[in-house]
Amino acid sequence: MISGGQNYVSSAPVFSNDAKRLLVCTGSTVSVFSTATGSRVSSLEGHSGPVTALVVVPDSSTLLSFCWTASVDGTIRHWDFSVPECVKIIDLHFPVFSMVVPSLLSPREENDAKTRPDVFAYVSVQNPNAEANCLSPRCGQIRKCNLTNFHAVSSLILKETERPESLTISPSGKFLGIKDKRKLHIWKVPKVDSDSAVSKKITLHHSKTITVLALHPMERIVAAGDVTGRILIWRGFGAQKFMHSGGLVNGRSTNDEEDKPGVRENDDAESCSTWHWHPSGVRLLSFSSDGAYLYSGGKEGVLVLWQLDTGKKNFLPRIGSPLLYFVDSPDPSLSSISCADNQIHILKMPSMEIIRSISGIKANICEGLCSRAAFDYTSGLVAVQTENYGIQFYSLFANRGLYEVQVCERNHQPVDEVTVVVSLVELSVDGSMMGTVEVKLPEDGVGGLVCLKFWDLDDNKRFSVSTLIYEPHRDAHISAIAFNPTRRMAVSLSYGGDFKIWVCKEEIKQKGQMLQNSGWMCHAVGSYKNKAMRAAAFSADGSVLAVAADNVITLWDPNNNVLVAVVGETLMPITSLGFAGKSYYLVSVCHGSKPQLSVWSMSRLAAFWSYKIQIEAVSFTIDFSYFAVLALLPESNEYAFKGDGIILLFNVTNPTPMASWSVTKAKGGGLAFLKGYPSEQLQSLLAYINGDREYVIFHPHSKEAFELSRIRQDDHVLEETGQFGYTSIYGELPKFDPKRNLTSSISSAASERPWETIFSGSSHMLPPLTKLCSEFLESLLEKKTPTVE
Amino acid sequence: MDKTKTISVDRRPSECVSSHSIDKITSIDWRPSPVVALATSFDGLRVAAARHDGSLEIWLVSPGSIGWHCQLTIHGNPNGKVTSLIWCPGGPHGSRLFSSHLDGSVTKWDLFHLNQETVLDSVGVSIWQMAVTFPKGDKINDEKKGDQMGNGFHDFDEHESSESDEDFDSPGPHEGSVGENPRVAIGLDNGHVGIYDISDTDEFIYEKSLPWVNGRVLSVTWSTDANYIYSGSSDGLIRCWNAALGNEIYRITAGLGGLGSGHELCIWSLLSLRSGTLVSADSSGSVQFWDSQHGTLLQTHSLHKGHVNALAAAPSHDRVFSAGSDGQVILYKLSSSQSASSDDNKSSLTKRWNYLHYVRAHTHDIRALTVAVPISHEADIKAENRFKRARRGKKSADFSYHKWAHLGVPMLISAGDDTKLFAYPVKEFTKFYPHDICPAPQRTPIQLVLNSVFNQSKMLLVQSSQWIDVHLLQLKNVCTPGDFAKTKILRRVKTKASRKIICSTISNSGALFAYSDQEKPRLYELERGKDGKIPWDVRRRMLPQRLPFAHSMIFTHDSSCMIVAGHDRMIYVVDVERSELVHTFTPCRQLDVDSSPTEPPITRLFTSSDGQWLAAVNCFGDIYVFNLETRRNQWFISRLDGASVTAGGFSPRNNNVLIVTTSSNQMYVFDVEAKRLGEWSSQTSALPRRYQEFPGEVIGLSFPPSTSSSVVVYSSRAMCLIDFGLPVESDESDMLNIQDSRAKNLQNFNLKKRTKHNRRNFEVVPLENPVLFLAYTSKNSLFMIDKPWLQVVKSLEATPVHRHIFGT
Repeated sequence: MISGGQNYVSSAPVFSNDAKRLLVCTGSTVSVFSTATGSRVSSLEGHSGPVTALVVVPDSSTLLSFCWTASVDGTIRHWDFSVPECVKIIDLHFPVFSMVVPSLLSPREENDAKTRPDVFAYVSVQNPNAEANCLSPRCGQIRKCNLTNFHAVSSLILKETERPESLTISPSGKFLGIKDKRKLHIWKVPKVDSDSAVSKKITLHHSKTITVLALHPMERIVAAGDVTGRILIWRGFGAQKFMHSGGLVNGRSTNDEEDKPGVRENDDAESCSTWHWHPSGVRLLSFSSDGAYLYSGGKEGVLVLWQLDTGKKNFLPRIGSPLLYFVDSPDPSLSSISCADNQIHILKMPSMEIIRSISGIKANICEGLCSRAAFDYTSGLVAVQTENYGIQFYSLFANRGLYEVQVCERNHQPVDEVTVVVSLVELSVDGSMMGTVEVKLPEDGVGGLVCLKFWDLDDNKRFSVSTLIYEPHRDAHISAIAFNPTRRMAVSLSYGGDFKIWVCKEEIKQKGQMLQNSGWMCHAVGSYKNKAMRAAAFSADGSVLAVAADNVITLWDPNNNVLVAVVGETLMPITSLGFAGKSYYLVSVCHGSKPQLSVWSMSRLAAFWSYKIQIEAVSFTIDFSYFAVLALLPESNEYAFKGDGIILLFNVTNPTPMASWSVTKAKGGGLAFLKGYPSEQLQSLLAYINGDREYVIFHPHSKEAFELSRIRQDDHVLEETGQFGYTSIYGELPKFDPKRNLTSSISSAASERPWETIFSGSSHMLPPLTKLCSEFLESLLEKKTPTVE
Repeated sequence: MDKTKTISVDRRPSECVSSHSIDKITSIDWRPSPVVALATSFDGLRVAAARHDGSLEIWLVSPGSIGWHCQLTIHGNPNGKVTSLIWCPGGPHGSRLFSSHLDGSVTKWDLFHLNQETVLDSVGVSIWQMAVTFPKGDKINDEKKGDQMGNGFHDFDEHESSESDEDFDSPGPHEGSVGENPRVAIGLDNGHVGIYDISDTDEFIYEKSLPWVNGRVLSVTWSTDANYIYSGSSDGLIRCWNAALGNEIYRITAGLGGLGSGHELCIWSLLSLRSGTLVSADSSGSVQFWDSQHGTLLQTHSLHKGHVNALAAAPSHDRVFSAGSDGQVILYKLSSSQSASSDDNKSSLTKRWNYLHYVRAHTHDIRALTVAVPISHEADIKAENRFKRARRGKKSADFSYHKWAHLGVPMLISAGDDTKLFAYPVKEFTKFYPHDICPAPQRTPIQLVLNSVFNQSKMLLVQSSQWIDVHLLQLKNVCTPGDFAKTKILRRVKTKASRKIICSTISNSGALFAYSDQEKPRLYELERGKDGKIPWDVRRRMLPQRLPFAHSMIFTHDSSCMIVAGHDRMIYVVDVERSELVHTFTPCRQLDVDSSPTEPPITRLFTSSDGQWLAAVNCFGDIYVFNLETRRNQWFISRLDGASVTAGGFSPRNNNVLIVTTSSNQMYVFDVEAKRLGEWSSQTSALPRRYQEFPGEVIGLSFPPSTSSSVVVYSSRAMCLIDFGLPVESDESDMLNIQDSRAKNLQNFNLKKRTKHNRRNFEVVPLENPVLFLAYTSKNSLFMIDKPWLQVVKSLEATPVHRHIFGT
């Protein structure tokens, strides 16, 4: 089993001490990426809940690579991430949402060798009692715990908040702060920390809800961003409260409130100034390590660099996605920004240019207008529509984004209104052709445009536009595209009731070289009783085209454009259609109030069997007569199945599912058979991608869910971090290592991975499908359940 | 003024105002002139503002009040463009005001005689800026700080001399005689800086001239100990000069990043602080802070999006304000931050100038900034002010002004091309919106004649700076809300281009009108044309030859005599028909003493309708009452609580009653014949607070033609009807009523629905647009001339600041 597609931007990443590794929280694991190549090096696995906080233990020698992680599962773990292995587990019994360790940051005292003070962490936890106790809605708590000698979480509660807030610590480790609606709370970390040491707190007020805060590395300056896009900078906070006891009485008698311009409500700060550039709420704020600059970003996807003294701005525009985190590295020339589209960009610092991106699979933007992601059967790619009018090709086996093509040439600003949508993307079976449909939404009812594009793979194995057709179906949107598996032929369907068959002229040999394809031309136009057409499929040999015209399936000869037959009638319009492998069975799916999954026999031109279930996705094998469906469970069944969806594997000839898997987050999910990797068995694999674009790939026929080793085809080549010595001057010598390919070890160790989140177990453990299927099938299923493989 | 449109039915304006119909005119030509320079007197009480048309205004806050009042206006030479203003200690009145001009002359403004005298003739080179040394008194206060500074300079000078300058001596205590008189440094267009002494007789005594430098000297300033002069020029250099020896100590290239002395970089303003910091403002939008000892850059702020024209420092010298052509005023504050990196035990105090806040109140370029401490003492009005007010959702700017304007609170005044002046609290700059202290700058004087000899038609006399317009007013009988009355211009009388009209008047018959420019008064008679071609004809009437030009003129009620308040501080009574001088009054404090005029000139005149009384008011608020029949001085009323008289008039019902309003928003009723305070005034101890907090100062009053006992007073923002027959209530809910009436629109006045509310005295009705004139036309109808400020702005010469709106 391969899983992947995790969210890289759930919390801020952290650089290792030598800045060669970037640690990213990916769900319940922590992935370690190489900053030089942007590829995954290792991962820390062990937490059973999402990891929420990461603290790398700083070390001047940069050799040690220890880190602390905290997770919602209530544990804090200590790792050596170079190995990687877990060193220590502390069980807090509270879900941890944020953790900072101030004592790691403050400079080590000289009596380092003798008595190492205990390391204390400040955690933002969710109080589990609060949910039961309706009287106290404040379930977030800021508490302390001793990481060196852990007994229990300190009973001292620094602050209770409505929700668990994220903690911010100053880079010097002296202050830590949280935002609490319109207030900021800042604590001074006691010099000698203990479980009971009370830290002093000040509160700063603002008139708007604060979204983010940052503390200056050297001075007592705090910056906060609010929902309206303002950035407030309080200077000299805590002059009275924090400094007084330190024996240092300020030379100026802190006389009166009029000496504090801009500061509200007699807060303990010297002055407060306001900067306003962001048009919407500020999401990230970070001081540079020398404290001279402030980075800010927000929804508009522009990284703004403020010179703290003068307020001068510098920009890194066109990132194209809302910014979430900015992280400095120990290497002053590197830093990273995390974007909401699941990308982590590594910036080369003084010039602020993106040198590398760690691209996760882009988030689902499906909002009715977009179709599902398309899968490439042969190469194991998934093509997903992105927000910036492009298509991202994501390798499911390698778990990384390969490249993106821009369908529509226009700049995307996250704040802009959506005017263009890439509504359809379809790949041919061999992955050499792609069809996309983009829809320009009409403004004030005029100016809508539908554009169909055919793409071909070019020499770099990337898609480039071959043919562009404006308004292929006059006045209606395109509902589906289907490719002929045997020849360069495609069909596009419209809601307006017609379909067009497009053919690509064969390559013309001229002067001994291959010319470009002459392009796609309309070969034939067909319609059936002006019924809206929503789905089409070619048979495996390409001789039959099945087009769903509203409630019936029409069968055509695609070459001669002759209507061959009309099959049956369903209750609701057919929305998905497919031939099951090379068999003469056609599978149709209907949605709506009376959902239906039907199998039609082509030989008899009649319905073979059908279920009344809500199908989210369906996928067919190429060679065999299997197909798999992703069915959405009715809400009442969610508890029985530990998930909201179920994958059923059918043989067309048999209405009894061969296997079933319970899955979560099935809404918006997808399903595809993929060609197995050559080194594996020749069986095809099944890939399931859920609504959050997390995916798993597994063997559908194996009795147990075998775990596939992660296949990393070309990552090892890129692994070396930087070139040095001879190679840095003259480039790399060609390596003569014929055995290199063998090193990509195939270890099929079936370690018990926590895959309960997606699968509830093997198919034998599943409850029967009685609750799922209709009354009609109930007896049938009960009888044959033991025989299900 | 912001108006909410929420009008609740039961809170309709009470009948006394709602029963009036109002006719409006908005078409009057009103072109205020941009402010080019501001200066605060040394006591911080008075602010002088020079306008582009050559006039000068003195703004102050009357004792006991907090509203600003334009104490006096001097119409100067319209061609002498003022470039800078300085106040200088000394002289007979304690302080003197000088201005430098673009033509290279320096003039003195006589605030007592209301005239302008040239004290330094032009040498043909423009003067860009003048700077005067700090006064002695201030210097003593700063001695401690200055000492430290001076030592620093000595050290530095020695270093310098060892290097290059052989004939350079450390300045030492400079020549004793020089320090006595205030000294002025004048930055000239040709690259010189001239240093002059101002003698007690207001002469500019040439002392020396600093060596010629390339480019124009655009800004000069003195160091606080007066030993050094800093000059900024148009080639982007700031030079430090030894004031005693006249040699250059160092020069600073102000261009950002040391990018050469680009000839296009202009140092518009320099400010020397007590801490030894020099602040420069230049045309690239940068405000830079320099260590004046070494000439090294401390900090740069480039927040302005245009030229930075002006700088000002708070009295404590820990805040600096800059203003520029982008209409922003930006506050920088000196904050000493303790570096946390050095541990707590060793505190390295770093002082930085931090940007804190900006305010954009002006729509046009800001030309000048100054800081004043205007409130000399607070009357009990402040105590009343402390009353709790009901919380309202929307507070107007006025009320926030009332919150921060207290005794001893320094105010920053800014003014510029949009002709307005704004006051900001220096200390609470970030908290409050600026106060518009001049809602209707350079109001056009207007007079209305109700029943003229021409078919009883109504006529208007509108005085512009260069001409006089006579309009025929056509009021409709039935006025629908929002409809405007019409005027027809009858005649326009122009003066010579080099002169400005100071005052004008029209007789009650409408047939005679007069104006006075800076040369002499002129009298005209309006008559219907003989032939049909020119329907109206103007004939000039002769006046006695030796009549001086006037600060104020008025006709008696029967139009037989014209009274001229000359600039020679005498009042002349001229018989119009015979064009001969009938009598000359000399205003004086002691009655029945005919002596040479010693009192300040008269700026306002009022006559009673029976022709018996003449009240003359000078700009300081003294009132002289004359009996025109017996031609004797009747009474002298010393200035009322130190405040100036803003409006006044004799009641048409009782000719012995003189009603005046003062700039401290008080109203007084005098019985002139009995020479005492009137019955109403003596009975009324305190006016309601809603009147004392009247938005803007009262600029005029009008009596209804009937024998009603009421009067309407108005400011440029609001009007108020006062009935002397009604008791003066001073209830606590007053504030609510102002707020409520604020919510009402002007259109509602015409609503004929009478509410059942009691008739209220002192009801304040806010008005939408700046009002120029308001008067009764009949018993229940008012006539108002206003103009939306946006229209005024459109007519300004300068274009407003273009602001790029995000996303366009």
